[in-house]
Amino acid sequence: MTAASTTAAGRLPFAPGEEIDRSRTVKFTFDGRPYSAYAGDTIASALTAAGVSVLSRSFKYHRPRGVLCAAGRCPNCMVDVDGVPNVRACVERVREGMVVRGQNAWPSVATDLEAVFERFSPLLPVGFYYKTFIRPRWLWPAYEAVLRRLAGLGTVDIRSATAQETRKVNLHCDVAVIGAGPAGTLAAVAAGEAGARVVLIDDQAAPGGHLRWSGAAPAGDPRVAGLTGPAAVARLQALLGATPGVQYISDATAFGVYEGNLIGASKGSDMYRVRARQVVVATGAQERPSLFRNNDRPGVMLASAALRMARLYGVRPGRRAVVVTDGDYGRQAAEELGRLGIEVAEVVDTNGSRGEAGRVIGARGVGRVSHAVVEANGRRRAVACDLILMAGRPEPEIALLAQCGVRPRYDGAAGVFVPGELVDGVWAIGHVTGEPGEGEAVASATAVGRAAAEAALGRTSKTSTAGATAVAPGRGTRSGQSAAGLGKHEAPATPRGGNGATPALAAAGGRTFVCVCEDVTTKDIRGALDEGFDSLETVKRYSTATMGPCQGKMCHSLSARVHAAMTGASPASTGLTTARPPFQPVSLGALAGPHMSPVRRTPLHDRHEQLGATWMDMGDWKRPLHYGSVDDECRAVHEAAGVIDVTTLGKLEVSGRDAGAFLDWLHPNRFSDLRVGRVRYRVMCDDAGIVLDDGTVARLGADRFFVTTGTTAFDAVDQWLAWWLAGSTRDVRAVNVTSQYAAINLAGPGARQVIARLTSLDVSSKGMPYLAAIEGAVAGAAAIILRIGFVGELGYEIHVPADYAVHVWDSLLDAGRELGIRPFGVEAQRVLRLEKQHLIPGQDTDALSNPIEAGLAWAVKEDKPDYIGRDALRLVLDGLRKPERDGRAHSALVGFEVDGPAVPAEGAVVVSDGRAIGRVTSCKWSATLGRAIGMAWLPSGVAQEGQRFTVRLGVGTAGTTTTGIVRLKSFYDPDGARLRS
Amino acid sequence: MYEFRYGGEVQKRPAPDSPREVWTSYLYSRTNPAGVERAWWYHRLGCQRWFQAERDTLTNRVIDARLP
Repeated sequence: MTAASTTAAGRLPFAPGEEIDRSRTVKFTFDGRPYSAYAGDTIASALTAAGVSVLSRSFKYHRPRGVLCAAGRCPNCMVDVDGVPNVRACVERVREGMVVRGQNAWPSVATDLEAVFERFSPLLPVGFYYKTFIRPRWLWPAYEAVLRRLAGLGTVDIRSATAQETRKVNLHCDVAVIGAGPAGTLAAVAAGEAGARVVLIDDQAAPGGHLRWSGAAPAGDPRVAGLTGPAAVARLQALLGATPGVQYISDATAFGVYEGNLIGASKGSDMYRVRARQVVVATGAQERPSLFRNNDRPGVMLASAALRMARLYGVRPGRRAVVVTDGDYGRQAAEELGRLGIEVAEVVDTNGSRGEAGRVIGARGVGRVSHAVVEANGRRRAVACDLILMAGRPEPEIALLAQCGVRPRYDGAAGVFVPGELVDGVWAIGHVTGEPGEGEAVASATAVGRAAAEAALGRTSKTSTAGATAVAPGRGTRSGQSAAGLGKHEAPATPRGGNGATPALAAAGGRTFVCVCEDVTTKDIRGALDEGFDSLETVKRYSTATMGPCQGKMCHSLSARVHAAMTGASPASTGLTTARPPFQPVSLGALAGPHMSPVRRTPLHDRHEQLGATWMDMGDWKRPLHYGSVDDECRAVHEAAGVIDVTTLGKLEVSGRDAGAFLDWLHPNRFSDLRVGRVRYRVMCDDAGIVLDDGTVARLGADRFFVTTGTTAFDAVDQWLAWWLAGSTRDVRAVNVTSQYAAINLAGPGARQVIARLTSLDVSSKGMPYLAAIEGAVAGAAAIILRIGFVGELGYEIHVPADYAVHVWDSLLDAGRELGIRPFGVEAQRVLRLEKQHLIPGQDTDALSNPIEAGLAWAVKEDKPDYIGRDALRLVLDGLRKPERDGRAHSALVGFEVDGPAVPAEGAVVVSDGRAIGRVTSCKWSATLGRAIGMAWLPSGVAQEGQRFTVRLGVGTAGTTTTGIVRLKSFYDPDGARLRS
Repeated sequence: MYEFRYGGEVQKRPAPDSPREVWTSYLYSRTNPAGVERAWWYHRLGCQRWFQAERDTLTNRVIDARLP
């Protein structure tokens, strides 16, 4: 098969300003067929040139869709490129060898068998999915399987997704300008000239906005007056280049403006976060789609889309066009198209400002428009054409301004929504202001840019920012134009409106689309209204109009106006639905991406590296997962001795006269009665009785306690203590000493032998019994030694000043060499603790877990006076005492073993009769026991010794199951003899 | 990472043995005023102290900030 030619009839003769290089061709495939493009072509322009009209299939009915906006705003050309879904073909440049596939279609967008859904459309009314699939409940798994395949757009290829590099770029500036049209660019240049640091963000490849493909710069600024196309682009680029302090970011979409003028913008897989003192919004304006039957047919597009195709890519968007307009804008577009060699069959003007009024009431044609059905003077006629160009008065692109807090206002005369009063720190310039008269806009761009710079740099005098009519944005002027002393424009005497202000609903029968993303028709809006969803916001949620990938860019005001017309209201009273970020879809990868966060390494990091550690991340910390063999590490701990770096434990020194009482207040268990030289388990709850953290408290002196916390919880625990101490009169100081101390846990039957070689302390079972907390020298370093055993063997948790960590670690390994001591990592530790059924908060508990149900009831002292969580825990305990409960909690965290070789995933669901009744929180293979063991939350009826339950392997709904058996006693050394030895 | 951490509205903790409704309201209900709110803030990347700030939630203007 030969590649479809690029120089065929689909191209216009060369014209200056086109952004393709006709001397170089690039090859790619679309739905398996080879195509060629010119360098600089977008996927959509190349396919249009090759005569391909259908680029995608619609979301619900699988209707054929083609180029609509050609500006990267609508959903109509979303394709899969090399495994990346939802790429906009009209802005994505063709690269050699690109593999492009249509989405939401099978087997291809040209022949989509799923289009059969449209036949059933009478059965798919608005709200269909909400109503239909909820009953009968037992059928849901079957519904789900089918709906999952049909739902959504595109398919995520996990392999290609993980290969994507995403970056975050943080920028700080005085003035950020969004939109590099003539107004935005001139504002940016003016702000830069005034000495401000400026970031100019634009979603197109070059500055110039509409000048690149339509019209010429008006008089008003001599630097650009009269320029169009490449001359305008070159002049604006030269101005930007000559202005120091302006950073211009092309091909980047500002998708949100957040609190404090924080702008989010995505450029490819990079995400920009721009923090600006002042924001100038220059997002321009765009025609809205018109309403008529089959207004989604390929060949129906915005007039600007046809002009972009023709001027930027030399592509002939069609041969014969019907232009639908409400005034001068459409006539101007028609003239430009005529000059480019595209025949305009007719300009249909709903206002009839220059001749007879008419309207297009429908499009005919199957895969592409063949006729426009025009109604004028009460007569209908079909006009042969392959393009219907929608050229209503461009409406300000106000979504980003609305996100800044600017309320939209309906301009009845013009028939469009325009920005209302601006807010502090936000300016608007150019077409987005909704002001007519581009000449003035261009002229005042410089004034606005300068004023924004002055405000950002603090040069604006106080009096004027406070004044009601002054220079500052948001204080009295709508567009910031009077900032430069320019008067506000008078509303024109003759209404130029009619741009769908009262949409021609009578004619809009059949499939007349309001929202092309979600396949919402006028009929669906009517249906939602008939069902009682009367406000625009509820109609939006019920019909999902404006909630698709275009985020309302095509349908936001259109749906408001349809709603107004149907309810007999004015768009002014209907208003618009709330505009929220993102204005443009952003990939989750770009949002998630790598974050700027510190990496924490323990002082033993190099030692672990030398020992060949495999690393894992735990919070900000790097920890050794294992050193080669988890089984060998476990065996060493059980049979000889092991050492693990537990430096990452949070450590707090709590001291003062009231320290003991304060610790009593923080915990359900008691510490004021802890003897000096002893350590006790601690579990901490909030006032709802939910487990926050656990660890130990050691009493080192009458007024001095050493507290350890979980690895990832130490910041939160530190802040929790500080909060309860804020404003308190208690004599307590809590100091976070996490980084001051390194900690090593020495565990195993040989542990005593090892430590005895390094200290003169009495480490016998009498001198340093289980739960002793002793200060003394280990290998010459001042240490705090805690006799505790998370891993279930005789153990010493040795805390030493961080600088001595390497020395003590080396000494321990030396002293234990003959014994066969081994370092062990987090994985072995997790296996060993599961053998003992020791829980880890956050892993085995969640935001609903209380210590009583988590099996820590012994740590809750009922006879204590008030403490954090007391009343909540008392409520739980009272519940247990009710006769019908017989001491059983609703659910319980218990240990279990697996009957069989499978190891269920952590998070696996416990099921009974097809219903989820519990979940596995931890599960590992224990080589010592020769079976998989874990912990799970189960209903109390099941959480009984020896009870068998079914676990779904994997997390999805499909897949096989295995059987778990509840074990209430720890698997290893249940009596704790080894631990206490 | 942000310089300040929000710590919620300033509330008075119920006395022990308060009725369940009082605890529920303390734990789960917030006034969430559209206007001036007195709330806890933590100066995470600074002095690491908790303080109370009066802030207008509509304008984000801080009216007052003090140690408790």
